[in-house]
Amino acid sequence: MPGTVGTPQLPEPAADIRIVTMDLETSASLALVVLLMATPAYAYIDPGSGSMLVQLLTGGAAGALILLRLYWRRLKDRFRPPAAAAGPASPGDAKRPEPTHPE
Amino acid sequence: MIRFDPASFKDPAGRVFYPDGHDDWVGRTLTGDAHAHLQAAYRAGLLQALVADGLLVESEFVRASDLGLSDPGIGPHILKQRRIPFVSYPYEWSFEMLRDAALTTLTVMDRALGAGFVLKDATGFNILFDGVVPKLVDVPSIEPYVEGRVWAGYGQFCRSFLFPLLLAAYRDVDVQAILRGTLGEVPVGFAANLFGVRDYARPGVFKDVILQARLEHTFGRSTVAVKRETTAGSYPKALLVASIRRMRTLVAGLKRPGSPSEWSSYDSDCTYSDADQTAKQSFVTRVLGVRRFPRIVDLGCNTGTYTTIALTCGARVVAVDLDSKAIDGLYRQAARGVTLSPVVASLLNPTPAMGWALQERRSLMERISSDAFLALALIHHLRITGGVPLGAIVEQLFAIAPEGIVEWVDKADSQVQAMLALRPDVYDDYTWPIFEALILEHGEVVAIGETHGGRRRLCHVRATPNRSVRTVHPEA
Repeated sequence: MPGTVGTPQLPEPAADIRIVTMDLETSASLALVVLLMATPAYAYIDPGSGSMLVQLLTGGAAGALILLRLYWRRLKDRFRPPAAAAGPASPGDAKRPEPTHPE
Repeated sequence: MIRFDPASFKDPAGRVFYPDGHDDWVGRTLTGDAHAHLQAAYRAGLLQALVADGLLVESEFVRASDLGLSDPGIGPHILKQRRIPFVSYPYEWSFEMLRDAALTTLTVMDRALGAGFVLKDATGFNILFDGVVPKLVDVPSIEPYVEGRVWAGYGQFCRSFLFPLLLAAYRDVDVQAILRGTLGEVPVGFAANLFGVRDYARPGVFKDVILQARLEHTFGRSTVAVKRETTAGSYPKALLVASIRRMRTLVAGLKRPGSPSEWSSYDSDCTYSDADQTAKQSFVTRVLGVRRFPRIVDLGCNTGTYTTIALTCGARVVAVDLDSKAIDGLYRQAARGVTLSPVVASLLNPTPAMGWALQERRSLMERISSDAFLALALIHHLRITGGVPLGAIVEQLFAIAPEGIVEWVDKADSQVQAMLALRPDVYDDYTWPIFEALILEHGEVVAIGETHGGRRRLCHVRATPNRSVRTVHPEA
């Protein structure tokens, strides 16, 4: 679906964004987003990303925005046409096989 | 001459070494950065306060040259630390021990943050039990806090402490086997798969386990992007402090379901009459009181009746039992300064050597050598439940210590009868004459005390020094 490529991006969070402690509703909706975004498992998994991100998630609105941005990038990469995908590897894409050892 | 600890290779900032001719301290090398960081922590008063409060093992800065150490691998500055006499590993700790070690880690982290520092990692191996008090020994784990960062040690804290504790508290499983199988760190996906949907509502499960596992699953390979986002410096320190305290409250509230295990209730419902119990205790008290062994290992200590006698006789006691709830009971009732090291382990399957080249973590047998053993109400379990030939059992006891008290439990004993009720009696070697002969092959029987009308015999035994002993291999 190349048409979705042009969807406007989420705004980048401003550096001085106010920190708001996340309420139950926000946590619940984010949790829903997280659980719906299932991806295939890999034998090699760096044991760090999840633990860093889950801390941001409880870090309030700024953390939530960072997470949404990461998800948005994944979604965008998924629908990117093959020509664009052949360009420099996007670090947000876990689906593309990497020729060398990641990081 | 020094000897580097083969387990200490992961963090170049502080490698552990053992100086020749000293068994009361260990050294840690310090890189220039590590030395500067720790000096800053010292100037801030953090290190002294942690030592004073029993959270950090006593450590002092020394110059390698002042100790006459010129090994090129050491560098100019070292940290000299009091040596903890017995080392146990997280997969040998009972639930309450693991929980207290977790609380020590979080308390140190909280106090460090207050002084502008953090713990850069949070493995269970950074903590050693000094008797029954868990203390941070990996002092170079303390480094300056960088404004805006999340806690890099959070994931490791979860794998080393939080996941096994949540599993034990909510699923009532013994975590030692899982921690042993994973070398002390339960992977997040592994933990997540063990919780059912009904557990999601319990404190800590959904966020710390399920959500973390999901994020790990999704972004596990996106490390560059994740690093860029998480090190951007936007995470307020107040939130970091709050999250450490939230985990502290969570961990402090965790309890193992209270059902008494088979062994934990052994003391109260065992077959000992009061007179037999008194006779057994006075025999042990008499032998230990006369011999005054500096170190004793109590094999199959249960809730610690004889461990307590050994402690009263002035010994440093390593108390081993396979029942983690019995060890929990022993640990909980121990006074803070007592020279007791509780260990969850089984002689039938003792902790093996593990990790890199099998040298990273030592086997239990390498660590429990002692001056004396107690093997009370034990050998019938090893022989009949475990199937180990009597000769191999006697040999193993003398390999642990050259002297000790072993209780002979005859086939006519009701406990042995219960064991034999559902299995064929193929234990032809399990007789008093054969047992006595095996002891005499190694040394002598110094004294015997009978209980249960002669069906049980307490034997004070001693190996003859330098006697060559026929090697007995256990049959399959």
